[in-house]
Formats: sequence, structure tokens, C-alpha cells
Amino acid sequence: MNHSPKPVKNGLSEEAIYEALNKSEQGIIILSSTCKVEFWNQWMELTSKISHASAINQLLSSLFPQGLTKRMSHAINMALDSGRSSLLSQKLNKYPLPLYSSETERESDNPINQMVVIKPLYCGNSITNCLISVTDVSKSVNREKVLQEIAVRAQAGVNHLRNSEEQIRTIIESAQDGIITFSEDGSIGQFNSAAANLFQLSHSAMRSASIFNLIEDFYLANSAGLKKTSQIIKEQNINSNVIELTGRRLDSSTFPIEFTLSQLERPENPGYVSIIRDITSRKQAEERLEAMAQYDTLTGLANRSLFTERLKHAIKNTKRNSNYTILLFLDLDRFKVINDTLGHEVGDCLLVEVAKRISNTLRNNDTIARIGGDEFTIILENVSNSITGGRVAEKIIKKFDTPFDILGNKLTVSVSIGIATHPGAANSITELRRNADTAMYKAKISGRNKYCYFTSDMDEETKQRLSLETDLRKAIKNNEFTLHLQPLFNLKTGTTTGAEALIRWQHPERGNIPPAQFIPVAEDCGHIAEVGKWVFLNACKLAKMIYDAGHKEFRVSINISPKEFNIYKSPEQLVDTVKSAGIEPHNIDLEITEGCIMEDTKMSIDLLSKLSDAGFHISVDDFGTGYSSLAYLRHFPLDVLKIDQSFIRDLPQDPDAIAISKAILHLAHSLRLRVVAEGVETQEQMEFLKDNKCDVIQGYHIAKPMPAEQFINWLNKNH
Amino acid sequence: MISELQSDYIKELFNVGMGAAASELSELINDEVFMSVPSFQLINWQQLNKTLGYQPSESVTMVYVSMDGQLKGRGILIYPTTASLELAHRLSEDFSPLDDLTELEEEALSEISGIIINNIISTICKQLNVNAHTSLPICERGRWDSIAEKAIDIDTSHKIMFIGMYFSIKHKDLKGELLFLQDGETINELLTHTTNALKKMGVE
Amino acid sequence: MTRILIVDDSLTMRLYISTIAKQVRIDSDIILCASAEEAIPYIDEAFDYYSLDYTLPGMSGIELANKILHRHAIAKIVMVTGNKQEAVRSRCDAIKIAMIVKPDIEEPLITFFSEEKLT
Repeated sequence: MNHSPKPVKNGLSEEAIYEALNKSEQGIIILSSTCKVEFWNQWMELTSKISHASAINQLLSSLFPQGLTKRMSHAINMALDSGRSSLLSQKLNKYPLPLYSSETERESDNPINQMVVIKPLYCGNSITNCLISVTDVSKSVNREKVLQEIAVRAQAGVNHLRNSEEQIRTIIESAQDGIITFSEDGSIGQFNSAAANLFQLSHSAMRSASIFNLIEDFYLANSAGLKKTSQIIKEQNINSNVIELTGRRLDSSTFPIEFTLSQLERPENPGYVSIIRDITSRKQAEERLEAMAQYDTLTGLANRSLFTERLKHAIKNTKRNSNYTILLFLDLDRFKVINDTLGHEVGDCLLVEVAKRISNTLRNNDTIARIGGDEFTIILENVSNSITGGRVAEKIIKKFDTPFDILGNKLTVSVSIGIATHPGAANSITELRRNADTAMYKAKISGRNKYCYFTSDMDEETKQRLSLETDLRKAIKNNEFTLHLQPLFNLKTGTTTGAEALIRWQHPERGNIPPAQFIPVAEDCGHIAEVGKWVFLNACKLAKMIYDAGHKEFRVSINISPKEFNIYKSPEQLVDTVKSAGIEPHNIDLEITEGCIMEDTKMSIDLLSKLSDAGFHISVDDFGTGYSSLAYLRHFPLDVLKIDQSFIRDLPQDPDAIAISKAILHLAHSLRLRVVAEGVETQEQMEFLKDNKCDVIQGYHIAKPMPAEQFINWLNKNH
Repeated sequence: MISELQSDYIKELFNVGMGAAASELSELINDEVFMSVPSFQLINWQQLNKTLGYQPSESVTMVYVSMDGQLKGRGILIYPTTASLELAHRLSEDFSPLDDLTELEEEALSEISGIIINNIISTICKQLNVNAHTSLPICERGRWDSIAEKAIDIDTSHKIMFIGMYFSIKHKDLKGELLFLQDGETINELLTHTTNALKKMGVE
Repeated sequence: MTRILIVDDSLTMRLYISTIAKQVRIDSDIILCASAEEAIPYIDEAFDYYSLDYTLPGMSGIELANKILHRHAIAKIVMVTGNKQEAVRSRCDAIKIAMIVKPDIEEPLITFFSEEKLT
């Protein structure tokens, strides 16, 4: 032990220090400046199996068969030459020295894991020795191994999870149905390609989409945009069953889908997974099937089942709207003969043509169905008039006047029609159908090529009515109309200043038909316009006659029907007619009923203003009988109020009649309107009215309506 | 304070030292080691802090070697912790999916850093004909602000030799910042020796 | 006159090497370059001796050496390097140029510049 003597520190003897080094748990080697071993502690002895005695004074490198590693040699030299301390880590220096912790380890060639530290030792300023200390770091190595194992296992777990995830992802991805997860706020989580394709969105668009925009039902239920998906699912009662919903695409187009929903086990972010299938083609097939089940394949008309449905529906509506539903049963006369003689092909073609012809006579919401071989039915819905049944039947029968050209065959076909109306004789749908059938049978046995109502009196009534319609059309042509005039007597001046023109119809067979009877018919069949025009033109002519007879300030009143009112959209027409007759608008007074004006106040004000501006006088007829809005009354450009005769009749006894008449007079005068009292028949009435400042009276007390010449004579006499 | 020639020569010394370190490292790990041309600055603490650019809370790993003798001071290698982890992991032959350094890995990092610093010191000492003995490399890890305090416990007005350094080990490019902390006296001595060496080489 | 090209990014090194060169070849005309790029314009000229640093900014010393050899197949090139790793040596061997390891470059350089000139 050739180390330089050092002062003893802290009261420890050299021996004690030596022992400490010797007994140290680390290997301690001290080399001389020439690399010879000068100290070799017990740990080194035990682990190297080289005794202290054998080691001393030997070159360190020669103690070991394999010598020293380059790193170690270099480190030792650097320590001795330059005073460099070196650390040889276990990781980078595997087993620098062949040391073993036990015999067994030695035999199985399992060296100690070492960490070696090499330091120069000084005496004063010179380096005299080199200290090598060897530390057994096996524990650290094992600890590291354990940690690594844990980490590896954790990683394996992660990998396994990732693999499972991958697998699941692949499965989901390859599914043909769209799979989408979404959260409470509707935002889309995961989805597969099938889903993106379903909604025709790119993957990136899909990622930022919301279920609210993809499912129509969700979209509509969340118009305010505030609802959560769970809310909607609850409201719409969507459970885990398969339901049919509607999918929605970017362009707002929709398509039917099958939708299955499950909740996701995800407390921190509640959500759902949905499976979506496009069932457009299935739905289309269903619809086609349904259509096939509802339509007659030959003619395309509704079949029996659809007809039944429609009839039920129509009856329900009729109840609600309190109008009529009319059922017509049609049967082709002698169809069997045609079928038998000319064959089924011709028969079928004929049916198709018949169906077309009949369909063309109907309105859009009428139903025509083929319920049997050559049996057809028609449902007329929302009909205001039971007469319509007969009218339609007539039209159809007329259509069959023209022969059919079927595959080169000219066929004359006629049809028998039975009509049943509801409300009517029948108390049930079945009865209704039976009645229509019976009526059709009646038509057949009474000659064919005609129609019959189930109730015979309907037959008569309809016939009458229809013939009246026809006659009305002819009336103008045949000069069956005349105008009578009834004077309007001015109480103030005591003169006749005007007259009301009233239409009269002298039917060649039926004689005089009162306007109360034929005007409604005219209005119903749309003929009122012609009648009205005739009345207006001729009233103007009469006015001209009276004017020419010297009565320059005379005014003729013409009744304008409510129905015509809408036709006179341009006062210019009226003005033209007036002028062409040779007079001026101020010679004409237009009498419009109170009810008619008040029906559409805005339109009325507009139109009346135009007429008033054109120069016409305006009178409100039958005042007191309509639902006048007093508020509007002052906005109308009126000249005259005509008190309805129902009030005048009870004058001068009835206190209510007195009160009302007085009130109307007062009201009219306050509004600067003149008053005409209609239906004045007694002197007392006249006097009452005169006392109460009524301006004009009209009635039998003055004169009955007279034909034109008679009137002019009367006027000249009494003026 | 320092001439261009002195600065250039010191830089060259670092270069050579690093070359030696690269050789030794490559032998140790049995793989090629690349080292870049270092940059060299003589700066003060504020400038250093700015240049390094670490956030106070950023995790940093530091290995330092204390020097004594004619060159007193510390040689410090600073790595961002993530970089040091990568390096250590690459050096381990066994796969280590840990996100922290084990003791053994820390030791390996210390050894490598020690080799780099020591080689540089040795080159400087040899060429400038000075001596310095070094301690074992010590590794510290933690927040930049606390590390800085511990390591750079020197008067902040002192100059610091700052050498930026890039090296590539096992296909991993790394940037470590090498600092030499010396007091003013030592630096002056260093410069004097530098001038002497230059004279000897016939370079003025 | 001896023409020598010295490439090294260290000013000190450039001066040092040229001092050594001048010692051996008093009549030398020396071109100093701080990088391979700076040396490129001189490629076509034939120099008697080339001293190249291995680690250069930009193009490396080896690459420059290759370029020179491509132009002048028997050029006398020495690679002066601080990096004595085996890889460097083998690269130098591959193109048959000498290698000198810093910092003890004086002796080997003297030997190098003493070699017989080509011209």
C-alpha cells in the first residue's frame, strides 16, 4: 500500500479509513500512476475471485484475460494524465469487468451489472493515483425491467384496444347500412362511408354535420334550434324499434329511411348510435303495389276498393260542408253484344275510350271508377245543388252521341245512368249505392240512353229545372223578355222623377214566369251575365225614349244582380253601353242590394267609386235586410237608400216599423243620402212618409210596373 | 474584449474538441456520430437567457462538469427534456416506452455529456497548454427557472462562453446548448493563453 | 512557384496551415477559402497542393475533393479534420486522399507539403 501519508481527518485512524474502504459495498480499486493495482477491496475480491494479494502490484489490464475495454483504458489514462473524471454508465458499457455475485452466476456467465466511476487522486497539485469504484446496479436494472414490462404491457393493452377498435371500425365501415353516432346537441360523432353516401356528403362535410339536418323529422321538430336530441327522441316516441322516418339531403330533398336507435353508454357525453337504411326503392315498390291495388289496370280508372274509399271520404266531407255528394252509376248499353261479336280486344279498347270520354266531362275532384266489366261509377263531391247530378248525366249522354272508332269499327254506344244523392233517401253508404244501382236499372228498363234519379220527384224537378235553363238561354234570342217600368214619385216636388226597370219573361208555353223564379236559375247556370246585359242595354234604350219624350232629368233605375256585380269589373263597359244608347250615365241609377255591397266591402268601395266617378247614381236596394256595417256605409259613394218594403208594409201602425223607418230616414239624411220607400200601398203610408221627410216613394199606391209605351203615356199624363 | 482571431481560434478549439468527442462517442456506441460546426459567443446572463429561449416552466435536462485548476468553472450541457429522453431511449438497446428517464438512462446521458464536455476541455487544455481537472458529470432535471438558479450560480454580470452545438446520434438530430461558465479572471487567463498559442503558431 | 489552395472555415486554421505551408514552400502562392463554395471558382486551375477541411458549412470537404479530382485526377489533396471517426477515414481512403487529424497537424502537414510537386 504505497499511498502517500495523509493527515487523519475527523479523529479517524488510518486503519479505520482503510477498513471502511475495504468493507465498502462498492468495488474500490486504487491504481498507481503506472496503472498498477495498489488497493483492491473485499468486494473486488469476492466478485472477481482475485485476491488482494494476487492483485497488488499487477497491471489492472493483466488481471483479466480479456483485458480492459478501450473506454476504460482511455478513461484511466485521462484520469492519470489530465485529471479527467469519467462515468461509465451501465447502459453504454456492458460489463466492463468480469465480476460475478455468486458462483452460480459465474457458472452461468451472468456478470454483475456495473456502473464504474474513474477519478484522479491528488496529492497537492499532482495526480498520484487513479480511483476506480464499481457499483452493482443490478437492482436498478431489474427495476427498470419491471417498469419496462409494465409499460410494454400497457402498450400491448393499448395496442390490443387499438386493434379491437380497428376491427370494429372495419366492420362498421364495411356495413351497407349507414351508421351514425350523435350527441345531445346533434353533432355527428362517428359514421361510416355508407352513411356519408346515403346523405351524399363528403366525409369532411359529414364530420361537421348535425343529425338535425339529416333527419327531416328531427329538423321539423326543432325549428327553433333549441332542442336536445334526447328531447326530440322522447317527444317523437322513438324507441329501439325500427321506424320509418325521412332522411334529408343538402338540397333539402328528402327520402324515406328505416331508422334504428340505441343509446350510447357514455355518461360524460350522452349520445346515440343510429342505423339508417334508405328504403326509397322499397317504398316505390310498395306504392306501385298499392297503386295496382287501387287502379283498374285496363282503363287506369279507380278500382272498386279505391272507389269505396273515396265515397266514404266524400260522404264525410258532405256532412262537414253541408252540401251534396251525388253518386252516378253507369252501365254501357249492350256492351256484351259488342264483346261477343267483335271480340275482347275491341271490347277492351272501347272501355278505354269510354273511360276517357267520361273523364273529360268531369271536374278534377270528381271520381270516376270502373267497378265491373262495363260498369262505371262517378262521385260528384262538394256539390251545392242536387240538380248537378242530372246536368252531368245529360252531358255524358250527349257525349255518347258521337260514335266511337275502335280498331276500324264504328261503334254507336249508349249509356244508362242512375243517380242517387246524399243527403237524400239513403241512410247508409250501402243504401246509397243500392239506390244508384236501382235508378240505373230503372233507366235501362225505361228505354236506355237516359238517366234516372232514384226518387222520381227528383226526376220531375230536375227535368223542369233543366228545361227552364235551356229555355232561358233561348229567351233572349226569341225576344221573350220585356222591361216594365215602375215610377218613382218624388214627395217633395210631387212629380215622377224616375222609374225602376223590371224584367218580365213571357214564356211561349208556360206564360209569365216571375223573376223570383227565373233569376236564381239564371244565376245558378251562369246565364245571368247575358240577362243582365240585355236588361242594362234595354233599360238604357228606355231611358233614351223617355229623354226624347221631353223628360230631360228623368232617371232609370236598373237592378244589378250580385252575381253580375263581379262581372262589371270595368265601368267603361257600362259607360259605353249608356253612351251607345244615346244617353249619359247620370240618366242611370244602379240599384245594388245591401247584402251584395257588404259582401266584399273593399271591392265594393273601389267599384262603386269608379261607377260614381263615371257619373252613375248609386242606390242601395232592400236597405235594412242585409248585414250593413254602418261604419262602412259612410265610405260608400251612395246617392240613395231604398228602404225595403217589409218595413213600409207595417206602417203607420206598428211602432217598431215606425221606429225603424224613422231611424233609417234620419240616418240617410244625416249622411246626405236620399231615401226611397218601396212597397207603398196606402195613403196613410204615403202621408206618414211625407211627414217624415221621405224623398221618394214607389209602390202600387202610385202605380204598378208598366210596359214601356204604357209608362210613357202615364208619365206624360201625370207629370 | 476579445479579438476576431481569438474568437476564431477558440471556436476552432471547440470544433476539434467536438470532433474528438464525436470519435470517442462513436466508438462507445458503435455507430456514427455527426457534429455540427459550433457557434461561439461570449455573452452575459440576460443575453444567454434570451438566446436559450426556455419558458420558466419548461422542462429541461442539464449535465454539468465542474472544472478546477487553471481553468475554473463549469461546463454545462443543456437539453430540452424531450430531446434528452429521445437520446437516452435511442441509446438503450431495449425498447423503453417510458416517458421519463430511468436512473440508468440518466447515467448514460451523463456519460455522453461528460465525454463531450471532457473532450472539449482536454483539447483546450492541450492546445493552450493549461491544465484543469474535472469532476464527474452530474445530471439535473426540472423546470428551467429552478435549474438555471442551481447551475448558473455565478455572478450574473460575468461573461459566459456559449457554444451552440448540434449533433446527430443514431439518426436522431439533437441540439444541446453548451455553456462554459467562468469567472472574469479565468476568461482573461484563457484569452492570454489563446494569444500565446496563436503566436506560437505564427498567426497574428 | 508553388500554388496551394487551403480551404477551412476557421480563420486561425487557414493562417496556421499557410504558415506551415510557407515554411516548407517559401515560394508558394496561397489561396485561402473559408468555404467550399468560395473554392469553386478555382476548380479549373491546377494547384500543387490542396488542404481541405472536412467539416465545412455548405458543401463538405469530401464533396469538394471529389470535384477537384474529377477535374484534376492526380491532384494532391489532404483532408484536415477534427473528426477522426472511422467513417471519415474510409471516405478519404475511398478517393485515395490523405487524412490529418486535428489538432496535431504540424508534422503531418510538413510531410505533406514536402512531397514532390507534380509540376
